[in-house]
Order: sequence, then structure tokens, then C-alpha cells
Amino acid sequence: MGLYDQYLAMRIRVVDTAPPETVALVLTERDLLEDGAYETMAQFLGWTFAFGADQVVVYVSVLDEGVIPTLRRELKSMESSQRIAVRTPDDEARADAPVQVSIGLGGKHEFATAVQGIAREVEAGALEPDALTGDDIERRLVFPSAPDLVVKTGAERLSDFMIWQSVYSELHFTDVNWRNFRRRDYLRALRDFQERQRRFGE
Amino acid sequence: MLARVRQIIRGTYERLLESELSDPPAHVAVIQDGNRRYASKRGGEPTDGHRAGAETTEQLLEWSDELGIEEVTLYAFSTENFARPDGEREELFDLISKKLREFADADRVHRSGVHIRALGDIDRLPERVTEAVDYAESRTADYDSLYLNVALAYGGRAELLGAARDVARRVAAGDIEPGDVAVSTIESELYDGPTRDVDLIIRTGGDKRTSNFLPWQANGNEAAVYFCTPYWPEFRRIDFLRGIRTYQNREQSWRQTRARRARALVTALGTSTVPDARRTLDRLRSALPSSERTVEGNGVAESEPEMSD
Repeated sequence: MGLYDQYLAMRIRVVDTAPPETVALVLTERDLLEDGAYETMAQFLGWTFAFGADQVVVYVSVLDEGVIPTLRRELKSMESSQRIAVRTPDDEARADAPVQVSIGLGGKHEFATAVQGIAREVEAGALEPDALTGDDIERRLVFPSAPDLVVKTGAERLSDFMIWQSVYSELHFTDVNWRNFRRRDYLRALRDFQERQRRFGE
Repeated sequence: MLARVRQIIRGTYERLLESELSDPPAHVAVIQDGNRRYASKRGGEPTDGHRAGAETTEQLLEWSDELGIEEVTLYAFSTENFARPDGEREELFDLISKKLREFADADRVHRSGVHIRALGDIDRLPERVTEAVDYAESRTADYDSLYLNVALAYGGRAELLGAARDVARRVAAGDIEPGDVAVSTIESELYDGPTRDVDLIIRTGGDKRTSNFLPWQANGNEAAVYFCTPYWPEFRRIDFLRGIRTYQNREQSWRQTRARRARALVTALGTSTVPDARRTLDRLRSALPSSERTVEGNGVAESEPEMSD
């Protein structure tokens, strides 16, 4: 580890701003088709937990659902010291693990599925439409946590991921190729996060 | 003298930027942040900042009209803003009411055919604001050259929750089956307002988050974002042009990136596993440099006819 990395890590540890507890990472399937992609992923997960995160959510956007089985297999065989829950567009079950991965399960779709669940309870008479609250929605989302920090590779675009959960998230864009993403790149994202004042629109 | 020179240089640069702009984004959403920080930097009250910001807002409309943008959505008052101190909040309501009426009467608005609409939980606003909203909406209802959506008492989660409630009511009324609830069902229950997905979000004031603004229309559409540091009252036409240019560069690289993603998929898995990727590649191939236009290894020639579309 270089001096600069050590310096960055030290800066992050001495600042009294809390580190992000929930970190989201947004990638594309192409990032994961390249050599070394899963090694970078395993390292990334290690860095996030080492720097105070207790939850990591990864979104892999896919151009073609045909790639999902391949990605799922690779992710399952990846070495990780944390439990990983993988969800795809057909899944409705809530993800419950320190590392949660969505392969192609986008935010609009996730939200619509949650409302479908609500609709079933309304039909069964178990829920009154007027009494519906944000909690009723959050209970039915596949990915329950709101990310404090979203790290996205590639262009500065928003992504169709956790659209309800990420409305207040700090966004960090990096143009580093995923397979070249290093510890220092994550440290930069953390420093960036700490330097911003979180005001929640007040 | 120096100021004059600077002005000439800025004018030239602006014209250069402008000449490079074609295909502007159809829908631009703006988070006009930094009014209060601008005022406090100058030793003024928050309200002074809001007033200065309102002038920028008027100019923004003019710039948008000139560039052929079809829809602009402004984050004028968020659900979180209800927590502001009473005095500031009331003055904001005064200012918003006054500006809505001014817009509704302005020659420019009628000349350009600007259709003004409010977006949000309007019922939560005081009467003077809702009256001004009604006035502006009714005076401009017949126009369709440029849509101006003013987000008032707006929160993205409130909008999504409202849509979920409306769907739930329709289910309770036996109007729709739970199994039929889909993305399009939610879409039809969002606030009347934005008619198009958001292409570009601009945020002034240096922060990099979207603060509960248009999650469905912007995140859902993978909108480009342009975060910039000037406070809203300092935001100039040239900053706006930079934002537009950023959007255009992203559009171009987006096509190329998608083509590369499709190519990587076809190369790794073969056309039969990823037919959608194959179609995307065929459609966007022209965005790739010629050296990347063929796919090796799968025996798929560039000229293979595509019958399945």
C-alpha cells in the first residue's frame, strides 16, 4: 500500500463524520465480464466493511436477461467473508444478508412489485388504502436499506436502482474501469462523502 | 476595461458552445440550490437569496425557450422545506405566489406559449399559493410549446406513496386486479405534470444528491446529471449551456457504451443466449469505432441479416 493510500486512510479515520453504513455500488454486466472483475469485487467488499459499512448493496444492470444465470453463478462462487443474497427480476423475497446483489432487478420494477403485494392485502381486506404509509412500502421492498453512499462506475447518470431507498443518498461517480478500481478509489469516495454536509433538504 | 474584455471573451465562448449544441434534452429538471448560502455570503437574509434566485429562474425560462427545450421542472418547494423557520417559509410562499402571477401575466410567457403546471401536494399549501397556482395554470392552459412544471410541496416519496394509495383504492373498488399491477399502473397514478421522462438533472450549489426530487421520472430514466458549484443566483447562461453540452456528450458516450456492452455479451455468451444484446449491437453498431464493429469467435459476421426484430 502506497504512502498516498495510507494518508487517505488516516484522513478518513481521524475525521469525526460517521462513515457510510450502507454503501451501494452500481455496475454493468460488462464490468463483470472482464478478467479480474470478481477479485475487485471481493476486495471492494472487504474495504467497505473495513471502513465501517455494515451493509453493501450491489446493482448490476443488464442489457439482456440471458446473462443473468452466468452472473449469478459467478457471484455465488466468489470468495467472500460475508453472506451474499442475490436477487433477479423474478424474485420477490426480501434480501437479508450483509451483501445484497441485484442482477437486473431495477427500482421501478421493485416498487411496482411492492405495490402489487399491497394490492393483494387490500383485496383480502387486511389493509385500508387510506391507512397506507411509507412503512407498508418499505416492508415489501426486496432491498430494505437506504444507501448513505452510492458509488457508480461510468458516466454521470442516475440509475434505475432502489428509487425509493436512494432519494437522499450521496452520489459518487468514478470513471475508473471496474477491474482497475483500487482501494484508493474507494477511499476517495469515502473522503468525498465525509466532506459533504448532509442536510437532508432542510 | 478588464470587465469588458472578460465579457467579450465570455460572449465568444458562449457562442462557440451554442454552435456545438444540437438535439437538446427534451426535459430538464433543476434543483436550484444555494439561495440562502448566496445571501449569507453577502451578509443578507435568506429571503434576499430567494429573491435573487427568482431572477435566475426567469432567465432560465428564456434560455430554455431559446434552445428548444420542451419541458422544464423546477424544485421550488419540497416537502422537507415545510420544516424551515416560519418567517422564511411565509416569505417564500409570498414570493412564489407573486412570481407565479408575474409569469402568468408576462408577455414573454404568452409569446413563447409556456404552459405552467404545479406538481406536488398542492393542498398542503396556503390559500394564496393555491390561488396563484390556479391563476397561472388557467391562464396558460392552452399552450404547449414549453411546459413549465413548478414542484411545490413536492417530495418523491410522497408522490410514490400517493400513487401506491391510488392503486390500492382502485383495487378496493374492484377496478383492477392485484395481479395486473405493473410499472405502467404506477406511472398512471403519479402527479399530473411531467409528461416526459427527465433527460437531465441540473443541481447548483455544489451538493451531489437528488434530495427526493423526481425519483421515478429521473432515476427510472437513468437521467444524466450535471452538478455544479455556483449558487443558484450566480448560475449563468454559460453554466446552463455547459450542462446541456454535458448531457449531449453523455448521450453520445451512452450509445457507445451500450454498443460495447452488447458486444461484450455477444462475444462472451453467443447470440442465442443473449438475443436482445445482439439486437442492441446491430442497432448501435455505428456508434463503435470500425475496429470494434465485428464480433470474433462466434462465427457471427457483421452482415448477418437480423430477422427477429
